[in-house]
Amino acid sequence: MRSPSVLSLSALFLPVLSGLLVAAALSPARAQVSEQEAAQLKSRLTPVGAERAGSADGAIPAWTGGLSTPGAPVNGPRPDPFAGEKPLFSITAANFREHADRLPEGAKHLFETQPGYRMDIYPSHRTAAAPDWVYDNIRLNATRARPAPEGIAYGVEGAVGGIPFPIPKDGFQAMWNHLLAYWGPAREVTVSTYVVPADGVVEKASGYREIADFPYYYRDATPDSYGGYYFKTLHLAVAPASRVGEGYLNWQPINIRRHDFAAWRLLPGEHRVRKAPAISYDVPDTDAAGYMSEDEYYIFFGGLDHYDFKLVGKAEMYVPYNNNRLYAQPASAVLASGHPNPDALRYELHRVWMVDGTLARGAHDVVPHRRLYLDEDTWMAVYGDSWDEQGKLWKFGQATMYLMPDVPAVVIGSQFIHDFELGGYAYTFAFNGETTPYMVTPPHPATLFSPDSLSARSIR
Amino acid sequence: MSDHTPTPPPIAEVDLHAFLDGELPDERARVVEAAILADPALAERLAGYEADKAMMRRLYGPLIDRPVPRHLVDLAQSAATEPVRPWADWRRLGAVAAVVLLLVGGGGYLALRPAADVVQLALAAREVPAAVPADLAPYNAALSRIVALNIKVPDLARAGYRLAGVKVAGDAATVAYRDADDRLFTLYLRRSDGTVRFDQFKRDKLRVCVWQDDQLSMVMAGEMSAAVMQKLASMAYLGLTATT
Repeated sequence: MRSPSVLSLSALFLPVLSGLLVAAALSPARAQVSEQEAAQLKSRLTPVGAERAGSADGAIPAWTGGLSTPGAPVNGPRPDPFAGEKPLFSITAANFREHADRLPEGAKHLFETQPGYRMDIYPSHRTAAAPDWVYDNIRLNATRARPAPEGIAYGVEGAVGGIPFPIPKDGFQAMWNHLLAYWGPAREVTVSTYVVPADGVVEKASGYREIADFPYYYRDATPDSYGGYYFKTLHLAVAPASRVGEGYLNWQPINIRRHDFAAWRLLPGEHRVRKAPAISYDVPDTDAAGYMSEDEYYIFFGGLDHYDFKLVGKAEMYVPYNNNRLYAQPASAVLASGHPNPDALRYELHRVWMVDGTLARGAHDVVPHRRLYLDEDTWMAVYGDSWDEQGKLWKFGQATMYLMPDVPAVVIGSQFIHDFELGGYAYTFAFNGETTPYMVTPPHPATLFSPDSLSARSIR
Repeated sequence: MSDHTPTPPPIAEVDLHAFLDGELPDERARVVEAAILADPALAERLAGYEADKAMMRRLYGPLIDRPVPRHLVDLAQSAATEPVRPWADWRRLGAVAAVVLLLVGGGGYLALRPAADVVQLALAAREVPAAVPADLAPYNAALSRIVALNIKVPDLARAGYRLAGVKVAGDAATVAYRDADDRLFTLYLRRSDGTVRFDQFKRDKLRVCVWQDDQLSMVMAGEMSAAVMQKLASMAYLGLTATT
């Protein structure tokens, strides 16, 4: 029989020892991938972690550097470099089941319910590219980026200037890549949100001029210097007339336990700013007449902590890609009753990461289950399926990837958010026919994104 | 025969301030409330005082949880025990005034904080007022007074919900709507406790949506899907501050 002192010692030390082991395993200092794994970013994988090789049947080509035409910043619609191409084939209500494994659930639902819906499939072009300094950062991030001590659902640290987890180990890492994907250091754009309800009558619900910065992508930023907010955006309403003068300011934190989502709203009649819902979670987006929640911007945006994200795997899917032709057309040519005008969109076969989000323990959200499809070459979400609390497919988001060789980058352009419960859809972040369609700019002064700056606008 | 019912005294400034502070006797409070509903100019004046008060709360509210600095407490205590001298040090008097302002302001803030959960309050107040008011102006003024913002009764007709009534009760209001199938949707409004919150959930058959910013608190309830609630919530939030 052991003496009480030995018992008490083991009782003391065993938990301590196991605690130390667990702590070591979860240590934030632990690199996410080894140097050997990270070296693949210059061989088997592209600099962002996509498969460099094409698909076995050649339908998806190898990545050879993307499309890059550096030069003067573009301040106007970017041309469609593939304007002369014809569709390889079309997917319709008649044949969509033959392609079911390459379609998201939302697209299948559109084929089942909208007789005129069609996807024209064009040759695939892996046009995604980024500046070399972004690639260099991604290579560094591969071994230095880590979950925040509070947990990866809340934040990431040790990364800057590139996606943090090019070789992701779980769904959260993949989702952080989506949130921290490269859009350039800053932008100016005038965008509108249209709503096409079940009756098919198109309404311009809102319009605003946006000035946005990505401090995480400032060229001289370090993991510790960009200030804890990876995205800051200022919206100045330009439509409808009743909302002209309104302003909205939003900051997205890299660690939501250390920094709040910060958002302020200026209403002209109040002559002051007040706190507002951030671009996160299931708060209805008032710009989209209830057809969208704030977290449906860019297909998914904001806090990850409502969900447990699991990496389902990779798949080859038909996705909206290289859609420059779309933005050269007026919105009226893009929007049709029940679904977008199929003639306006271009789909290509690309590889995507599938990430499943189910409600985290103790979390509330109007969408308890969602699936995101992340383009392997940009990490941006191209599709999002959302189910309601009865398990019924409720929403479907599709991004229209925009090719900007001058940056160079391929980014989420305008997005369609279909609401199968209400019927109809929203077309958001639409810059069709705008005088400032999408301009990538140098960083703006930090003071521009302050509540005081927003407040000052009320007295101009 | 003449009516000898005594006419209530006119509404004085002091009545408005006491009404705001909830310190009027019930009978007088009812008179003031009726006058506010009947007189948009009076309601606007009250909304102005309310906005001032909200500003004070915003400015000094965060200080309420901080301890009063020891030297200011000592100063206040010594000032209270020392004989009053007209030539007293003005800096000292200023410090005493700051302590008093902090305590009074903080007390006011505590008094304004809703005591019960806003969802409980909203569901308890969920009823349809007797009639649709012919003129919404006094109600708009009353809502504005309650939340200290320039707001109005939202128009939800485009979503298929017609106004069924408005009820103002003290520091809260319930706006009721019905759809074509006579289903009830209520919007409960009161001043926010300062926290930002959004939540949507089911309570029995009712779907409830809480939407709160640092100024106003809305609780919406009705028998509907999550999608319809998102749409109505969006329209209500926007409609409150719509300028046209």
